[in-house]
Amino acid sequence: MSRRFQNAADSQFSDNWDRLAQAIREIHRKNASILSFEELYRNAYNMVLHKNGDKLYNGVREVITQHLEEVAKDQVVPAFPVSGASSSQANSANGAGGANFLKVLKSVWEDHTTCMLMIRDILMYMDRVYAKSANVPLVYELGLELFRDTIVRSTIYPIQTHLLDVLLNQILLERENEIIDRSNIKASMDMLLELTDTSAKDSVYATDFEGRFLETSAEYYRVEGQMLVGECDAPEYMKKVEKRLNEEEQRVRHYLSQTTEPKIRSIVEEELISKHLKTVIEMENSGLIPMLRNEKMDDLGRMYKLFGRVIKGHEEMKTAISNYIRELGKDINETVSNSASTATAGESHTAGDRQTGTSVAIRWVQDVLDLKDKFDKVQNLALSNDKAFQTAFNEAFEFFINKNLKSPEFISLFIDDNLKKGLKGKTEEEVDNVLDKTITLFRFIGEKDVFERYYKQHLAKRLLLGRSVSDDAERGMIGKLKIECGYQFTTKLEGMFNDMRISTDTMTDFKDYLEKSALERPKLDLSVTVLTSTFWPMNLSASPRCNFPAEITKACDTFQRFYLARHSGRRLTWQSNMGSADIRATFNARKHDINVSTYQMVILLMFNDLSPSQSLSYETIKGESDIPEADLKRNLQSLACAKYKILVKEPKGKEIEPGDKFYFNSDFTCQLQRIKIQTVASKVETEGERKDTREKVEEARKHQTEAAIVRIMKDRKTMDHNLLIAEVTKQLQPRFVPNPAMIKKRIEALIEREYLERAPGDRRVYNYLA
Amino acid sequence: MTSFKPVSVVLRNDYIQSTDDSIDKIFQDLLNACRSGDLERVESLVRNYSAPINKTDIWQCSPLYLACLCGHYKVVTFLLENGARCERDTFEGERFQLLLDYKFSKAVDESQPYFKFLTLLYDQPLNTFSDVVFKLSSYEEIHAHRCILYARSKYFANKFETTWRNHDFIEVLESQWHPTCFRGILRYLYTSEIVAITKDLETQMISLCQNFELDSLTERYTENKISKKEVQVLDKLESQELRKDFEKFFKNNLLSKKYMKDDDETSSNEPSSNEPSSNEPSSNNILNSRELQGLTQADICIQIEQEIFPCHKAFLTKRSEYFNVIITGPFAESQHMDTIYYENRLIPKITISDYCTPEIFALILEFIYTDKCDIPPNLSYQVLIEADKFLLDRLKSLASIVLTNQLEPIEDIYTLMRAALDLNVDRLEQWCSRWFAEHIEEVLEDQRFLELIQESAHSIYKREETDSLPIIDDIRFWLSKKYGVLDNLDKNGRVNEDEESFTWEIEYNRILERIDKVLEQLELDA
Repeated sequence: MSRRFQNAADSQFSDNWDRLAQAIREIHRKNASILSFEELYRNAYNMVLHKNGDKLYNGVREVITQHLEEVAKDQVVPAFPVSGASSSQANSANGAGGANFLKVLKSVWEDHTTCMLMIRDILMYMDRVYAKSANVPLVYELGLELFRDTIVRSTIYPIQTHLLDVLLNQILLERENEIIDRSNIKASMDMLLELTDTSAKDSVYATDFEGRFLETSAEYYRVEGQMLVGECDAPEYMKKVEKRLNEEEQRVRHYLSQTTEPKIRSIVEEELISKHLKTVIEMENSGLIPMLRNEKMDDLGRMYKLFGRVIKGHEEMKTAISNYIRELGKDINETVSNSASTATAGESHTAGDRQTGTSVAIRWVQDVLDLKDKFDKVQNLALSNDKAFQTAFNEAFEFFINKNLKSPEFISLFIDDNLKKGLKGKTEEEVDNVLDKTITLFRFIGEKDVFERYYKQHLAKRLLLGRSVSDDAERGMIGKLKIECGYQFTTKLEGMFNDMRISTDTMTDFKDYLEKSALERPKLDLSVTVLTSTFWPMNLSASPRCNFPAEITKACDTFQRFYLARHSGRRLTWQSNMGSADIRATFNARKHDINVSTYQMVILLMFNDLSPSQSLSYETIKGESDIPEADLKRNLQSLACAKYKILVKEPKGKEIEPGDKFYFNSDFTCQLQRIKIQTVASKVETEGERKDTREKVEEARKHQTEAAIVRIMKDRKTMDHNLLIAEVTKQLQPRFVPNPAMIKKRIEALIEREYLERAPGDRRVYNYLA
Repeated sequence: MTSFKPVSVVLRNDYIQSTDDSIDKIFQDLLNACRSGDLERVESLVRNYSAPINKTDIWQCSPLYLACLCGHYKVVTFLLENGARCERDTFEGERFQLLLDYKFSKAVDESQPYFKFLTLLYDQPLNTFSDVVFKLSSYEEIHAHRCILYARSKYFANKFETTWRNHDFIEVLESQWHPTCFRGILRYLYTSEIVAITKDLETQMISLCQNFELDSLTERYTENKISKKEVQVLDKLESQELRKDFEKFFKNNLLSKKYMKDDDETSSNEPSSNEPSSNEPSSNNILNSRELQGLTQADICIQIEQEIFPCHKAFLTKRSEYFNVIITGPFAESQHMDTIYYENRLIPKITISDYCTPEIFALILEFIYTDKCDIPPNLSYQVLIEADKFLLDRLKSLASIVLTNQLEPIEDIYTLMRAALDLNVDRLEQWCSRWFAEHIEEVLEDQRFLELIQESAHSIYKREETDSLPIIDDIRFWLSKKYGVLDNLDKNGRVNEDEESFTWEIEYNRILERIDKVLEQLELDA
């Protein structure tokens, strides 16, 4: 064996150890610079090499422990802050005492770590060779453990209690807006973070401090929350909460562990937001609704941000805002029904009343649009376009819009108004803008088929009477609807446009035909629009009769011959109620070109054969023309009672009564050469008309429902009742919301007609019969 | 009960001559240890058996890859520190953040810690005792180490010997030395890494390379189309070149400059620390004469016994924790340093009065400066001891390789065995066991062998009864190898004897009997 190793004797061991122990003491006395590293290293090396690593390790532990105990007694304990000073009067004094205590602790900690680094240097060999094989902590870690057990968690002195109290107290002081020395607290926190609790495998900070900190914080904010809710209005409260949240975040950043951040944040959120959600939202004069009413976007935005931090926050806000929208919507609906009821109060439906009906519709749509604008703005500026809020708002709008049964008609009327009014001062872009917005309302309508029906009617009138702003605008609108509902929804509408175009071509051909043919040319220019009956909203069978004067009948016949020759197998029906005519009338003063409806033309032509003094009675006109009574009255009204009085009625009056007599007003004067006699067009429907429309819609729905049932059953062959209902509802949803009872009726009708049967074993199941 | 414990690792007497078979076994073992995260096993295999750290198995898995895959952070750290190769664009490179910290690069191979050290010097000159500043402009100052530049570049060596000899602060025109280019060149000088530069700087870079007379670097920047494979080869050449440069610098400029301290000098040194350079006594002349061929650029001297070694703080402190504390720590050595006048500079001198001899210290320095060490066999034992003491693990395994490459022990076999056990050098321990097996007849007569066994038994006194003595197991294993009976042993570790048994089989059983008898005498059961 090596002589060198043999030399390792006990005496040498104790000699080595004595030197090392002495050196460690010197290090504690801050005298490292007198120690020879080389020699100390060699001592430690020899001890470990000669299998005395454990003795060395334990010896070091003892020396350090001894030193730390002295430090605890001589430095830490005397610095204890005055105890029993937790009452508020003594706060500041305690604060200063506490700060001093922390300062002492900081310097003790710094000394300790510096010393441990030096001790580690000396014992480098022990760390590498002994600690590893003996599976004990490295000497620096050992130092941390000893510091933890001897100082921080001393069993002899209440250091831990004082430390925690002082720390919590300092934080309390800072919350109360006093200036504290953060660097001292930071040092203590760093110390607690660096020390680990062996059993919990976590820092002493987490085991000893964090829990208490969170507890006291929760208590503090519980009290503060209750106090603030009583004292402040909503915006102020939220500002304070925001400030607190910021402060806590800063605190964590400055001197706590980052791991505490989410915990303390959730405590503040719980105590200051969650617990007072409802109270703040419902605060009178300053809560959510007043904010919306006064468009306090900043406050709303703040509320959105703050409440978003807690689980129920946005939920509550959403509900509150939706309810508010519903309420406002209800108000809008009510004003409509009020004005409607005043309108219907008079029982009779004069032109004037109808006008107000239209304006009511337009105002309703405008109000809804304004409301929508307002909440879009809120959504945009305060709610950062939160999708969830958007959905809730949409639901609310949908709810109240569908509450108003007339909404599809109103919206169609509104569109009609804009497409007609375009010429009256609004630029095309503005109109387009309005229509875009209207489309968003259209989305909310549940009964899209009803809307379609009204739109068709209004469009037909616009097209036939040449009232629409421009083809582009109309087509643009249809394009928008197409995007919303798909091509099926708009094929008929597009078909109407098609008819218009083809008719123009047809008319050119007709003129050529007339020129080339040897036939006698009619005395008037006839312009015919051929409409495909399925596209247009007119009722064929109920097409109003009317006796045309001879010349016109002749012209019509000529066209009919021309047309049928080209398209065999078609049938033409004249829609006299939809046409218009330009006639030249000679008055005493001058000649005028008058644009009138077909009916009016028929009426006026009757006066052609009369001398100015002769009159025609209402009954005569009615008998000769065979115009339906309602139409006749309306047309006479616009000829005799409106702005341009082409006819004179006797007796005078606004209403047309049986027995009235009419004269041609040859004294009529007017500045304009061309005069247009207004016919009352596209008005809100009367109750009767509405019933009619309703019935038509119901009828159409029956067919659609049956078609859907058959389509589904053909595919599935056998299906359970509930599933079938669900599937049918799903398919029809885009057009209207079918009601289950109705579907059930349709199923029964189909069973009667033997499209379906009930399954023999189970009455709830249907089979498809091919 | 006696039972035969097969040793899982087959030791090779000579690493270089060993069969492929045993390398494979060691390598398999390493792979398994990397999978299971057995750090100690990995350490032992790499340090003591030179397990091929960068080999891959039939599925192209390297030890590093497996350790990464199985999430053994410490094993990965160890592998990287000991030269596991890892390229940025491979799977390993992508998956592990730690790899990034190692600044691995194409040039780095089995000498990872060495290149890591050089990279550190480059990255943090201010923390590593840089001693020269290049001021390129009012805001661009680049710090560097004279010794590195001196060793790596003739241009700088020449400048430091002449114009810049006494200048620590060198002002250069930015227009001549573009900062980015200069940094790139510094990086190359420090680590042999060649950094990519943008097109617009190419001309400047090339002219700067030419200015510094760096031919191979100039070529690399001029030649633009080289294949990836060629780049690898060239990079490898560059890193070899860098090693050569440092080896040359160490041999020619440092080692040759060590000198004997004479009493005369001691006396002259004292005033020199206080007085400026002007009229130096004779010693200065002696020093000057030593400076004839090249300079050391030393910023510290280490005295061992009567010999003085000029050294560099950068190397000493960053390559050895021990010297780091000596030089920068709060203890007496650094607080009360002697100074010495050397190469026109006043530099500190530290005396190490440990057992270490100048001879050994020169070897340690060689290792510190060049990451390799030609250890003469007769010194290998001392180097092993000192390397352990200074916690230079790599040098320790280099020494153990030299020791175990000898046919006969260069020290007393029991001393070696003791050292192997004390210093935990598996490779040496196996070598000794094998030697014992080969000389079993004599050894069994030797009282010291019996003591060794007894001690071995004591050291594992707390063991379970069925446990065996590692030393005896190892010897039995080597015996079975020696007699070629490894494959047909019964459960008692004996060969079944019958009429057809070979004589050596009978011989083998007889020796085992003897060992058992000795153990019985010692009242041990193994």
